[in-house]
Amino acid sequence: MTRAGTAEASSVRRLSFLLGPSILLIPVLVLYLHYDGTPHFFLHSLTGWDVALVLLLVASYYGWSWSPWDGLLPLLLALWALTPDFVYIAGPYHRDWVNVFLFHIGLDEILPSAVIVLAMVWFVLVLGYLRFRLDGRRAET
Amino acid sequence: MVDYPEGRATTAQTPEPRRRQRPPLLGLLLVAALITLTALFTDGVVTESLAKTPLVATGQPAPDFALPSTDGGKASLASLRGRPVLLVFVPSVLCHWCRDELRNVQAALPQLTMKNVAIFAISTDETVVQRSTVTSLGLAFPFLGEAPTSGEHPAGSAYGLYHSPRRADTGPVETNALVAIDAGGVVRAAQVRPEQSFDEAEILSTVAAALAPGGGSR
Repeated sequence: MTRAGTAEASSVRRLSFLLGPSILLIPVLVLYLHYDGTPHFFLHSLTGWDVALVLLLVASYYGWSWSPWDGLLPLLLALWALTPDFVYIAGPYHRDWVNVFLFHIGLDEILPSAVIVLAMVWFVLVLGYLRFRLDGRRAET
Repeated sequence: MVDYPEGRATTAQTPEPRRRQRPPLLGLLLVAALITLTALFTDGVVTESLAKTPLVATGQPAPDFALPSTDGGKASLASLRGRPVLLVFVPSVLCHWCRDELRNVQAALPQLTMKNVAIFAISTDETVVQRSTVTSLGLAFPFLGEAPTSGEHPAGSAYGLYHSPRRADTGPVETNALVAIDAGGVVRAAQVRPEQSFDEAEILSTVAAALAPGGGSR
């Protein structure tokens, strides 16, 4: 295998570390489908993902290199953002203070563009992750 | 000292530590992402707070609305002018106290029908979900559907029930409430009870009080 091929395979493997843990969100999606709340699922999980990608890129900006544990952060923050809905299924209403769960109630108004904006931000940030975190390059003087 | 074959020797020098420069493009990307997310979150919080409207007052004309109905098409309040109307707001057809209340409305239906009272149940569920509940609970009155989406909950907002002013911590769905409207289209009663259902007697007394001459209490 050429060096370029090796590097590409390494990037794919590293990207799989990022995306892999979020497979655990699939049963959560099934739960939301049951309650007819699919837009809510994508709204809050994308919020968690976007915030996680920002944090990972900030880590890269300050020199922290890629880690196989990168993928845990999007999963954990997605679950954090979804938490008020898990509580709601059990009975208690949302409260205003649940905005600490990554603006859960603010975004629950489901702004017409919210999911689209979050998806676009996610796409750009994943490209940024590929560019700045996976290849491990840093400008050096 | 390092010996070279030609005999020249040099002093080994400690290489200077390399200074790492933060990629400017990454910095720009992060700033853009933070601005976008901050704008979205701020918009959400502001929109959510603007969705809180005052509870409809007794004696005021009942705000009209037209919403998708489980009976098919859209149903409007204006189409019922000339008949007393009972609006039954519930957060969702899925909450257990909401289903209890719907059963109580169904139980009170014969007496309400005798008084020629029309009933609309309203929630922020999809029509298909409401139809499933109508079937499973055997409801004989229509459900109207709104959405927890900005600008798509006209009835809940108009009646001040999308966010109840009675409780500062009500979530982003309709609050349990009964609104009784007389045949002239005037609100005669508005009873709000978050997270609790109205029993059959309370439903009948709300409607009766609203239909009494000069009646209406809040």
